[in-house]
Parts: sequence; C-alpha cells; structure tokens
Amino acid sequence: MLDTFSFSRRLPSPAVLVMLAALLLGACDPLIGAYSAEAYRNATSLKARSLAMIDRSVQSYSSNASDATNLMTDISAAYEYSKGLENNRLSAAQWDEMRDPEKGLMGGFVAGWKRNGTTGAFFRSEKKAQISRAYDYIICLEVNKQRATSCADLQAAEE
Amino acid sequence: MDFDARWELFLVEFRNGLAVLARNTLDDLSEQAKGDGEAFIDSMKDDLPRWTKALHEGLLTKDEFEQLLEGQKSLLKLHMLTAVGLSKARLEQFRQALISLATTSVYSAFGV
Repeated sequence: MLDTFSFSRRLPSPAVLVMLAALLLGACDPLIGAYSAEAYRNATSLKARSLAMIDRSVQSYSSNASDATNLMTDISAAYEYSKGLENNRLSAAQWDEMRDPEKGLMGGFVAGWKRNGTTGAFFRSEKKAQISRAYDYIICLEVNKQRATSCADLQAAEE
Repeated sequence: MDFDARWELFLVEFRNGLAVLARNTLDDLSEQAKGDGEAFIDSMKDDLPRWTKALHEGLLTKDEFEQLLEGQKSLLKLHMLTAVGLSKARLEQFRQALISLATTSVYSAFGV
C-alpha cells in the first residue's frame, strides 16, 4: 500500500518540476519568427527606391519600364525571402500586399502608371505618403521581433 | 535552511519577478494598440475629404482616386497584420523572460 510519504518521495522535487516546466516552455515553437537583418535591409532600401520611383512617374511609364520592372522584381524577391523564414507568415503577408498588382500598394501603383502613362502631382504626393506608411508597418513589425519599439518612435527617428 | 523555507523563498522571488515582468511586457501593449488604431482612423478621417475635394477640382482623375482608396484598404490590412505581429512578439518576449525568471529564481532559492 502506498502511503503519503512514499508517494511524495516518488515525485521530483519542486525545484526539478520548475526546471522541467521552464524546459517545456523553452521547447515550444516561437510565436513569431526571429528578427532578420536582411529583411530589415530589404524594407528600408526598397522604401527609398519605391518613393523615388513614384517621383519618376511624372515621366512616361514607357521611358521607365525597365527600372520599374526591376524594382517590382526586387519587391517580389523580398516577399519570397520573407516567406521562406520560419514562423514569418505575417511579414510575408505584408510583402504580398505590397507587390500584388491588384492591390493598392507598389504593385497597384506600377500597374496604374502603366495603364495611364503618367501620374498627376496630387496623386504622386498622396501615394508617396501611403507607400511610405506601408513600408513603415513592415519595418515596425521586423524591428519589434528583436525588441519592443513603438512604431511612432521609429517614424520620428526617421524624420 | 530547510526545503519548505527554500520553496517559499522561490515562490516569493518568482511572484515578485512575475509582477514586474507582466507590468513591463504586457501592460503597455493594449495602450499602444489603441493609440495606433486611433492614429490610423484619424489619418483616414483627414484623407477621404481631401481626396474627394481634389477629385471635384480635377486634381485627381477617377482612376487615381480609386487607386488611393485601394491603397487605404491595403494600409488597413498592413496595420492589422502589424498589430497582430506586435502582440505575438510581446508574448514571445514574455515567454522567454518567464523561462529565464523561473530558472534564476530556482538557482537563487535552492542554490542549484
């Protein structure tokens, strides 16, 4: 017959139980992928190139077609890179929205430029603000994988 | 010190650490999400009347106006993805800190 004393003797000590719990917690998959310096570089450099490309849409699309295609190829490459990282579904979805010609970010902008030939000054100014904010969201999410940082602080530092 | 005293010491250290950890890691998350959401709505509130006015004044074509509206939809999606990602990142940081706290509290209380 098992008395209370012998039963308690069979249990690991609380210290061991705590260590085991810590090990179990540590063994779980991370909730979100790790920070990637490459993904951060992609976002900051493509942001600068995208805003410069919007400025160039005062000219005809046909005279900038090659550069616009190269830019969209690089944005697609950033999406593929992001998609290939573990537990990175949210960042990959952001890049997918950025590149999709049916949506309202860079893919949609280049498709519209191609369709209309050039863009107006008011539209360029508003679109630049939109695209800038879109990249800021991508950058903010990447930075927060490493350390808790307010998105507003990141934008203020940039300005 | 006997085992029960060490266990109590561990619990006190762990609970104190947990309170500080939860306050530092999670408390400001809901405030930030609320602030970011309000900032997004504020920007929408300013943008739509300005674009409508520009459309009526001929500064925007109908196609450009629609592209801007589509852009706003995409921005909302990115905003939501970022909000979810930030919550997950904070919870992951909390989980890592919890593991570290449990381990250091055991070392401290039991001298292992």
